[in-house]
Amino acid sequence: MQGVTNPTPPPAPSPVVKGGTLILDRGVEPQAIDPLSGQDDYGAIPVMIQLFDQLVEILPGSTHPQPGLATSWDISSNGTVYTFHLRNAKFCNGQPVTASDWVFSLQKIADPKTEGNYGQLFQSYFKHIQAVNASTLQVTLTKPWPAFLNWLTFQVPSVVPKAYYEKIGTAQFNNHPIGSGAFCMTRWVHGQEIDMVKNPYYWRAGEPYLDAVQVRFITNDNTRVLNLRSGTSDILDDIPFQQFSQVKAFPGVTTQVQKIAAVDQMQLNEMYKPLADPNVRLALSYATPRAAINRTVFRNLASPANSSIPALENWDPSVPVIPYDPAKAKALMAKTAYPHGFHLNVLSDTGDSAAQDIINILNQTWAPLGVTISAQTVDNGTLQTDYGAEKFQGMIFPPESDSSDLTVEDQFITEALLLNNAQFSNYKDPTVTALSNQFLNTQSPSARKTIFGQLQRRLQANPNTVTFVFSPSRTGLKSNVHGFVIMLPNWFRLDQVWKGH
Amino acid sequence: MLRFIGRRILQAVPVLIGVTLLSFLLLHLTPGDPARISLGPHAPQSAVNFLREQLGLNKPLPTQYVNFIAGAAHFDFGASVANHLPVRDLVGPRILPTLWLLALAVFFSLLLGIPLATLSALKRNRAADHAIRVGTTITYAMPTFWVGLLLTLLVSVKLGLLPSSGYGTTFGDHIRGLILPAATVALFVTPLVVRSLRSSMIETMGAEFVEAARARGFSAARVMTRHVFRNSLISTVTLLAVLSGALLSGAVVVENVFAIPGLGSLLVESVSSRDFPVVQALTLVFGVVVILLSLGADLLYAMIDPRVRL
Repeated sequence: MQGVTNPTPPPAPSPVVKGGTLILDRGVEPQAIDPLSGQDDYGAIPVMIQLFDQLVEILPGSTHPQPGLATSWDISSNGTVYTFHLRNAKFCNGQPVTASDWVFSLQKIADPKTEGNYGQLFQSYFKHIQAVNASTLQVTLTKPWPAFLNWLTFQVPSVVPKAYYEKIGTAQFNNHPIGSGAFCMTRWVHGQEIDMVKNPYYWRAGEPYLDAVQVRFITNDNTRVLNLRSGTSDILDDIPFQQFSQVKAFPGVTTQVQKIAAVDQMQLNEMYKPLADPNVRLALSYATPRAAINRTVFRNLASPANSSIPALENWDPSVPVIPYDPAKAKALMAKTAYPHGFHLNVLSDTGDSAAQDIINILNQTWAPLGVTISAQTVDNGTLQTDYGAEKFQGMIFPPESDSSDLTVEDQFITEALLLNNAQFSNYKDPTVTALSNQFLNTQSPSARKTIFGQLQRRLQANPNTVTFVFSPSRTGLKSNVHGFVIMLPNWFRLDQVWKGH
Repeated sequence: MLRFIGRRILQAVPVLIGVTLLSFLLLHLTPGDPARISLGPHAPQSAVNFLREQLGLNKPLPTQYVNFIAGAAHFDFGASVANHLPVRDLVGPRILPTLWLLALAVFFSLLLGIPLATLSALKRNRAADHAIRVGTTITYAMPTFWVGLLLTLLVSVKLGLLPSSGYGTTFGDHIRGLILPAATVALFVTPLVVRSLRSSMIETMGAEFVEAARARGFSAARVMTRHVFRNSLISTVTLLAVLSGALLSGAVVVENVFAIPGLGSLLVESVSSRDFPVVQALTLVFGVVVILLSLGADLLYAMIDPRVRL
């Protein structure tokens, strides 16, 4: 992976053709598309980004927050008061977006009674939110929050029309959402599709180019591939690795492989005694053939991971990948209380063939250490529950599950290294904790980069997981689809996508 | 007859309660916390606990079950754990696609099965009979998801005749979208129809009343259609009613392959997200459908053979 930028769309032939309907097949249906419910499920984010606006945005080609519904902002000298100057924008129902809509939306997100994941986080930072006037919003923080603007690019802090939301309530807003994004949702047929049409009031003049978008939910991978092949869909994302070369050969179809903020790795639970020893974890890391895994499982589309945190803005490419070194692994294992190895039970998703292949490889390369693996496959619900209950020894989530919604490392560091017993791993390293907290509270971009480099190296020396690869997104598109790009946090915008003849 | 129907309906009530109780217990014994699944692996435990409280998952299991039954009596199944919508609103629109799929599948099975069974019975132990029996055994042995993909490859990708998946929005779209999935289910059901009908026809062809019909000089075609076929078809109709459970479970796989928004695909999604209220409501709907079909078969029997009512 060479440097990290937000992928830019390939140059498209001009002139842009306006109109038409884009049909996009996805494997996961949203649970909820109300951003204020604080849910960030993988099915919902790519839909929410089309329907709702944020104060600041991530656009293709940049990892830095760009003006969204805020045209500009002022930050107080102590870094705790943000004053946002709002642009003239309208919701899909024609009502103007006002500062009081923003006050309502941000307060609701930070409500501790919100069911989602982020209520506590925003609540801990928000001291006061007020509408200075109809077009000026002021947010006062309890303390400086270096990644505040990055957090505002996320879909959860989106704006909704206060009066409409209060009138119909959360459950109905889910089915009939109104936002100010490029598209307006016309219907959601559960289990089938979400239909959207262009927002006639969208603030970006002349956009979106498409008249309508149909997002269909098709859980079966083979069916989605056949739909692209038969021409009944325009875009297929998350192409299974083993089918990528087949899709690439389809006539009239182009493929994209793009860097995203995801790392594939084995989670380790240090409540299982052998895994509490840093030398054991390091030995397992040295006995892991990442290049072979990339070649066999990920069809050489990924790159060996040099960090258990995805490659984001502050990622240091110069940190070496832990090499496959069986002799060093054996020497490290000899120093532990388990010189003859131990047995490891690894949980994975029933439908995750990549995990099965990885376990097969590891069973061979970890055998000389005396480490034997028994693979246990369970459905995704059980996997998540056992993870949250710390009822596992080793666990592999399906590719792209371990990803970041931000282009900076703050979310991942908070969730993976600080909260929930270091994400249910019970990993404890005072240096890592100190560096993490230092990173989260440092304003200076250059200082943050330096601190993250130290953190990345520390995690390589005392690994919290067994890393495999940074996996990329894989997308198939009809050749007449232009302007589509999967961005670093693994979502896409459709406002500049168009279909040629 | 009315007493018979009343008795059968009363007998169905404990069956339904048993079905819901069993599914309720199985679901709650299965590992997997709906609150954790809904919020995802990164959610703080406090948020998960809060959601569990809101969903009433902390209440004792008997209380949860009684609440479910009390609600179900008023067609109120509560709200979905996953997306908070009333379960009624989620399940209701999914019933028709599944019923259409099953009806079309049964229609295709009969369309294909009746001529094949007749030919097989008439050409008993000859080449045509062997070919039909071997052919239907092969289609019966093939997994439905694989048959579905093969049909899609041929009909949608190669020939471009029908959509490869989806249910569409208009009635025409629905029928076009259901042809391939129904054909897939039919390829599984047809062998059973052929076997049942063939053996029944062979048996009937040797019956005394058929010999009598022939002796009276009726044409072979009339003997076959008026006497042999009508009498043999009864067992096939009964077989299809009994098979209704298997057809519904077959729909679970086929709806997934062809992205049909029916009860089967909803069941898969709901089990995977441990959406207890939806799964419980679906179990009840499946139970009612199977019981109604089996009741229909019993009534058919009772109409044909009065001894059943005794």
